[in-house]
Amino acid sequence: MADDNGTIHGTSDGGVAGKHPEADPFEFLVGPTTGDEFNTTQLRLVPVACFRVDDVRFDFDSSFVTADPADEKKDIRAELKLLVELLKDHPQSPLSVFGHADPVGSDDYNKLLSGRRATVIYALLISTTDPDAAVKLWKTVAATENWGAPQRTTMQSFTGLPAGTADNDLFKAYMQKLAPPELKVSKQDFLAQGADPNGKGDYQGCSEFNPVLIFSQKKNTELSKSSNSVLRNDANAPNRRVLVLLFQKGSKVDPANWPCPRATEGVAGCKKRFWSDGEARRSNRLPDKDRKFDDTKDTFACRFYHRLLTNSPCETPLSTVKIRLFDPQARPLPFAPCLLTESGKKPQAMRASGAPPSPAGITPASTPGSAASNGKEDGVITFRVQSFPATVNVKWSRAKVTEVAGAALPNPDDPDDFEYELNVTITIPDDDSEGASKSRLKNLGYDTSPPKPIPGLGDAITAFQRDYKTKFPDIVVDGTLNSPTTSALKTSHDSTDPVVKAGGNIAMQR
Amino acid sequence: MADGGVVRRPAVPPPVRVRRDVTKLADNDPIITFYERAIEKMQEGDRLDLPTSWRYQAAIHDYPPENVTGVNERKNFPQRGDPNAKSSDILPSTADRRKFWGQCQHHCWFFLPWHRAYLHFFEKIIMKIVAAMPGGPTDWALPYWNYSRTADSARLPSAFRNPTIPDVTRPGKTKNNHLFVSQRIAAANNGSLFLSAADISVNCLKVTPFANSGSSFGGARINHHSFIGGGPEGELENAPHDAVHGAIGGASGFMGGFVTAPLDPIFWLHHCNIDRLWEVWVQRQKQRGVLNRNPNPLTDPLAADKTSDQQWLDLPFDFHDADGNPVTMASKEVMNTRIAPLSYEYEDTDDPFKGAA
Repeated sequence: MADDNGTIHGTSDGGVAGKHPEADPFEFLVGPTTGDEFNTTQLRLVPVACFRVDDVRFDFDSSFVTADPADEKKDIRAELKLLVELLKDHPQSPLSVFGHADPVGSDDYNKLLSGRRATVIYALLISTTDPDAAVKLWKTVAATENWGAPQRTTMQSFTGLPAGTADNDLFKAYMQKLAPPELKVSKQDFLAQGADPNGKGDYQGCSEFNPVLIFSQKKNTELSKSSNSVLRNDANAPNRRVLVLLFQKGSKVDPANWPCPRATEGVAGCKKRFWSDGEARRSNRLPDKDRKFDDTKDTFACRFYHRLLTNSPCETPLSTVKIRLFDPQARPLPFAPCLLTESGKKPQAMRASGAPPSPAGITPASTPGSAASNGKEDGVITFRVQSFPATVNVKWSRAKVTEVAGAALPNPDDPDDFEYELNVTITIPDDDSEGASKSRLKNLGYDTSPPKPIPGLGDAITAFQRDYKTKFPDIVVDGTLNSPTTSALKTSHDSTDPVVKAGGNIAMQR
Repeated sequence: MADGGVVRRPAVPPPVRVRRDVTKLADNDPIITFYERAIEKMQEGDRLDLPTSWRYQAAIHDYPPENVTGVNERKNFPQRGDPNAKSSDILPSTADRRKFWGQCQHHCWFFLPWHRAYLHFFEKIIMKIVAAMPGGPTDWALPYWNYSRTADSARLPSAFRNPTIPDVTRPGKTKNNHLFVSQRIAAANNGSLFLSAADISVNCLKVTPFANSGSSFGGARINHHSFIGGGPEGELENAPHDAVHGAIGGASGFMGGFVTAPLDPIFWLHHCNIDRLWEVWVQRQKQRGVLNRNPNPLTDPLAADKTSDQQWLDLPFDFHDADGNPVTMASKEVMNTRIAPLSYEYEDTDDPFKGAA
């Protein structure tokens, strides 16, 4: 079973829980003794299960764990539920937490950031049994990262506590609301059993040393342009993660012998544990193809971590699909209710990112279908898959004026609820072929072979050229997929930026 | 195995045409000027036998019963004659007249879907004519007359009041205005008539459910098409629909009779507003979380009515497309205006009561 990657127990929007494959039987090689000497040997550390929290649960470049008052599936509560289930299957398996950063930024900076993320997760896990210790850890991280008004606002609105609440009380209440009561993990449940006051053996950061994904040279050049920083950070998301490993029942380590440095310590201890070619493993790029740990198992620089995680289902990256929802005038739709159906699965009700439309009389922060939300990442739905589907069916509507934060999700049994529907093509070849261009046209609302003709649209390619000529002046309106058209199509499609189309300046009211 | 990474995809619904409020448009707005010129084109040759002609389109709504043989219920209803009838008229075949003419649905829950389909095919005829004109837009959409918007919007829009207008194709010249008909009450055409508050009240929007034998939004629940014999009309049909017809047409004007109403160009904008109010009602029901909206056997809280809901959705109506070919359309095809074959939405479907009961 050496090439077995274990089994995935459950996934959520921001994590995965899984069981490691059975370890090979441990063979003891012992020498004959002549007297009363003993052979001494030591059991290997064997992880039996794993749990991963993804980047999406943290603020960007921060260790602050976000919360969504409207939907517990959209914050870490979803993953902690997975962990509760996993712990039921593996009682008394001791834990250890490993944080990871992406390769952007220095090793030293990322060592500390990944360490803080590991610390924050560790604290959250023990928050139901030792809230004071948990709060103390969060406060240390908060001071280092200068958590301020945005974090306080999130915590206040989530807990309902007033402004001015003391940090101790606010942090405690916030963690209490995030951690399910069934989660009963104490310091003693970790691998070093809390023996080291700074958590050696129990939680640590691995900096950017163990990436699961290394961009190809071509992609890296493209994504290194400053205009592509959002795309680059998105593409790097799988590398930013926190792993919690569950070890064989009875495992215990002495902090003095634990190879990983503490969360607050520098990189030297890590580098001692590198493969001899560790630097190459974590940074070499192929010309055209991404390197992935899942494919070749050679992207981790740290051999200690490598040995623990080689066949872990939690280092098999799930793919993320982000779909940005627009209105027919190509304006993004924050807070849009929608129904997503992957082939062969049950429809899933969700809401797009962004603030709900403001009540009448208040200056709208982001009115659905307005230019106000153009610059932000509003109107995006995110879901995770084990492999990219060819298409998914999406039904959606503009958010209603009466819908406020916490508004109910749409009813999947009420098709009447949705204004728009599209089979969105997910798998599109990265080229300018006719097939790829037509798929992009369809995602942008210009189906070249619609089931029913759309009155007024005319030829779909001409309609696209007419509507997008303002933004891409070199487009030639001739109804053919000429080169400026395919290029504009690809740019517009892949950036998912809004385009103000002809007629898009009418302020629609509903 | 997973690919890892992230893909980003946009989801933009197919474009829709926007039906605009005529009370917000200038008289020389292309939406209005192209409508006027398209009507002129439809009236060319004064044809009655051509499905895409002005008179044929009106006859779809209703025509004097002696010419619509076999539609018995019309015989007992006082009808007007065809004001344009002349001895040289060529009538379509009897079979065609029976199938396509005198089809309007009133006093029942088919009132709204039938008129929505009727407007759709009329709009497509205008669209085709307009798109063929020099500079004509391909996405022309029928405007609506929201007489309830402001005090001044309760007057007949000025573009419909003047017998002559500047000729946009011959600078400096004037022409007959094809949006004008003299067969309206005089006060409507001289701009002194303001529709009364009662006539243009939209209190109908507060009524639920869609269909009922008593008071309802959309009309009586029946299981067959019916000209006018179905039962009580819906509150929207009562007002502002009937009230505005009566106020503009009076005792003898075009808007006051089933046969003549569609001969007045304002008829189509009035009905477009009625169609819009249906959409406003649906949106309002959604905002209030009311499941009882358009008839739907999946969501109908009245289990016994599921069969008739399905009949309402499925019964087809007969029309002609913009090329004059026979087509059918059923209620289920007009439930969502934003998708093909309709593909339009209204500039404003704001709930005037803002969700209040």
